Amino acid sequence: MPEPYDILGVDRTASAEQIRLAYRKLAKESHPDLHPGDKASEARFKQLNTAYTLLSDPEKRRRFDAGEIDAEGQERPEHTFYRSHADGGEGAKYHRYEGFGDFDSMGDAFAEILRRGERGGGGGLKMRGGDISYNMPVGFMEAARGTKKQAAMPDGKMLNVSIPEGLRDGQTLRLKEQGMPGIGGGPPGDAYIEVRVLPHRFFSRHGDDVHMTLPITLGEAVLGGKVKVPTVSGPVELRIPKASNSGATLRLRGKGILDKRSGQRGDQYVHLQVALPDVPDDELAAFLAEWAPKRPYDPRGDLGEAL
Amino acid sequence: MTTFEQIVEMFDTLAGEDLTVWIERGWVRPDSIDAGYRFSDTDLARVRLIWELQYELDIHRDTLPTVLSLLDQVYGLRHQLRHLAAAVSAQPPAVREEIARALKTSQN
Repeated sequence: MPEPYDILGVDRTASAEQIRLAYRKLAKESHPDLHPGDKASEARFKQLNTAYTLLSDPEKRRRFDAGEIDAEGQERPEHTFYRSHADGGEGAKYHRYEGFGDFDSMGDAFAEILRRGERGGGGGLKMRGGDISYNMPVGFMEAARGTKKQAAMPDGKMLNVSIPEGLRDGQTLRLKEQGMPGIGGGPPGDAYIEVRVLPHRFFSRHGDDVHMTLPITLGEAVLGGKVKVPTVSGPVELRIPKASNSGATLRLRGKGILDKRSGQRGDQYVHLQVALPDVPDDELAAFLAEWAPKRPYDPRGDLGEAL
Repeated sequence: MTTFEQIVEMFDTLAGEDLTVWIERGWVRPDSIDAGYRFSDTDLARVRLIWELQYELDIHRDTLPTVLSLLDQVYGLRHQLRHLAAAVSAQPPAVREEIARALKTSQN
């Protein structure tokens, strides 16, 4: 991304007023609605807005100059430009036709052809509507298990979204015919939704595997036992072997996330963490005070000469 | 669908009187219902456009109607041109070639 000062074409010492004037001048030249046929104008205008949002805020500008923040991430919320509506079906109510009377003898024939086109008659005049792109956050479990839900898009449109099981962060869903309406009876465009999977309270995902930390009691760690463990597909029983230490990892095969392409499930890795009683236990303390291990152990042996 | 109040809320520098004037002049044409106005997505995008032209790009109030009128003509023409292009593309290849040749000749 180019420097915001370069985008606006001003010096780093430019005054707030100079920045405002530079922005206005460039925005007039690149506003997408004023240049409906220029596809690139939207990207240029967004870049311009990002630069201006940063430099028109004295505090943000100061932090940018000091190198505390970079030029990214200052964008204004996404919105669809008027041109995507004006070129679509419903925008027709704002269109103005001054006729083709000035086309001399051609005028009548041309106007006749177009009038028939307006009514959608004559055949072959159907146009597909435009596509729309959205971003949407999805809960960790919704993505892991898949779900159908109604979601409000940033432009206020409600869509029925079917989230497939095992959806990954950054994946794009295509909703057929949920985009802009068609023209002259043509089919609507499609909606594309890029999803961001939100983090979970205790699960984390690595590929199709799920990881979690499971607290266990001192007794379970020393003596072993059966405990209930949550997985993305519901709780299961896990047998903890005798003498399981903090940091030991147990694997629940096939309890991870489904990979739709291969039909295989990942695994869940359970990282054990020994937890002492919440309230200090006098008997335990008394026992340990008396306890003299037959085979003393040094858990810090690995630290070697650092000690 | 969006209400009048929601729109005024949405744009920080937009006063209700401004929006009323825009509607009176026909720049924005929401559906009129008993309880007030109902703005479609297109109407909302239109409000955003006029708001940006006036407040962000500093296009003068007196000039705004001219800009809007020209814009609406451009979009109207694009709409008609698209119909025409669709009609042409629906023709058999021989007819399309004939039209392409005629276009080339008329350009010179």
